[in-house]
Amino acid sequence: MSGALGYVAAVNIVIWAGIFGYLVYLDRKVRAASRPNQE
Amino acid sequence: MSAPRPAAGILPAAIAVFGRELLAEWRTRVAVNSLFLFAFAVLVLVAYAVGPTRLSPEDRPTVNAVLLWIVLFFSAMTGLSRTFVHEEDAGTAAALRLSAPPPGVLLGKLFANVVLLGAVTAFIVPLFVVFMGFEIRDPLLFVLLLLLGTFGLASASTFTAALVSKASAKGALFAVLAIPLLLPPLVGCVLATRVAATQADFSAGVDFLRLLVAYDGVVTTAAFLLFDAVWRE
Amino acid sequence: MKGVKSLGFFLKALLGIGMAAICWGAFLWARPAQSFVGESSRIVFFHVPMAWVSTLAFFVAAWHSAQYLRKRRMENDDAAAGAARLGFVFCVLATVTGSIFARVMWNSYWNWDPRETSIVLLLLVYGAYLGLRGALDDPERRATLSAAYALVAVVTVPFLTFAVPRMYQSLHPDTVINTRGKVEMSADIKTVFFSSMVAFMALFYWMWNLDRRVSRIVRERSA
Repeated sequence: MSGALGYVAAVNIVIWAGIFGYLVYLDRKVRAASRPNQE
Repeated sequence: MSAPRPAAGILPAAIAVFGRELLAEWRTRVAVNSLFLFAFAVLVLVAYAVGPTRLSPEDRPTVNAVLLWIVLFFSAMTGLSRTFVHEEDAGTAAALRLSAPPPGVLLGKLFANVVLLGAVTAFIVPLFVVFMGFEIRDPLLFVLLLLLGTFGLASASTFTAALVSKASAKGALFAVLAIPLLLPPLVGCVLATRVAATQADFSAGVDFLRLLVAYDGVVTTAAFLLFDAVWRE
Repeated sequence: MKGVKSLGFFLKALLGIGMAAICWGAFLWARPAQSFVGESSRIVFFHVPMAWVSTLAFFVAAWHSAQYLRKRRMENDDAAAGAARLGFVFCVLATVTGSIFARVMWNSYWNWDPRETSIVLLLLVYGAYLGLRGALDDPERRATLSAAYALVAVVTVPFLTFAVPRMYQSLHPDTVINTRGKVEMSADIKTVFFSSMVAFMALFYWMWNLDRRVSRIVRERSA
């Protein structure tokens, strides 16, 4: 990889994966909350 | 937000809580026994496994400083959560809440923990020095470090114990919550102990002492400001 | 009302376009800085905002914790918890990206540089805070106790960031952005860098708002 560009790409992948993971967490939380209450 | 009740001032309440704590401790000796036994067992383990002869002279100050504070830190973790946890377990917390102003409660408990941990320190440090062949070049710095470090450990632990006593899974949570609070003074204590072991130059440790005083002051102040909310919960 | 809505949409669209532009600028437009290995200076555009947002989130969480203790409004608890959760995520990202950066610069993923040490402490604090929240079931009690913990933690954290540099002064005197950044940054790097800081802060704000709204819905439905 020319001049450590692979590492820069790796950093980007890590960041966007982390933010995406947080969105998945929020999505699951909303879905659990919007399920009709079963008592 | 809470005006202390006129009947009980903070200091008399603190002294009462402190006396009651020591008396209760003297009757059962649960915390004292577990603390001393734990500290002693760890010390024996460390002294046997590492010992004074297995370290090269240049490694000795660093490794001994780290091991000493590990022993003290884990002793604090095993013994100091009892102060508040046993009040909740025995159901006596409500009575204490009614009969004493919150700062008095915290002050009394803090003193009790300082005495307890101070006793363990006074017991374990001479043994450690002998067992590990730990040479201290600057005894004054070393003693001041032990005093300030012990107070810092006790102060942060006491507040954490008050938090944890309201939660489930208290034992595990106590260590998890206390470690981030205690890491800064512990790192400072380890570094400064190494200084005390390598050079007889007091001025080399003054910065660390200043830092520890600041830490102890800030954490204790924060604990007193926030304790009211925690204690009433 | 309509105006506010369209302004929000406009800002979000701007953020999206800006973020794309920053990625383009970071990889293709800005020239690599001297004194860094190869192209590795481009990591700065992504790593530093992570660390900055993480620290910011920590103080936001502390601020809302104090507000909760004063006013006892659950909205403040939602805000503090959301900021702490996001701060934890960004802190992990800052740690991992920093570790990658360290690999390029110093040829080792981890060597307890002062910055690395202080971020580990921050991770521990966030972890403890979230652990405490997980261990408490009653919402009000959870809010009060975690607020108290957040406030004690926020006053202890600066000690390690001041204490630790003494310890390692010989190892890495001038390798992290702070001292060099403001002096030697070329104009193109500066542009991308500060745009990236602003964009990631805006992204944090957006995510934080979403988190608060979700927490509020969860709270109201379970009440």
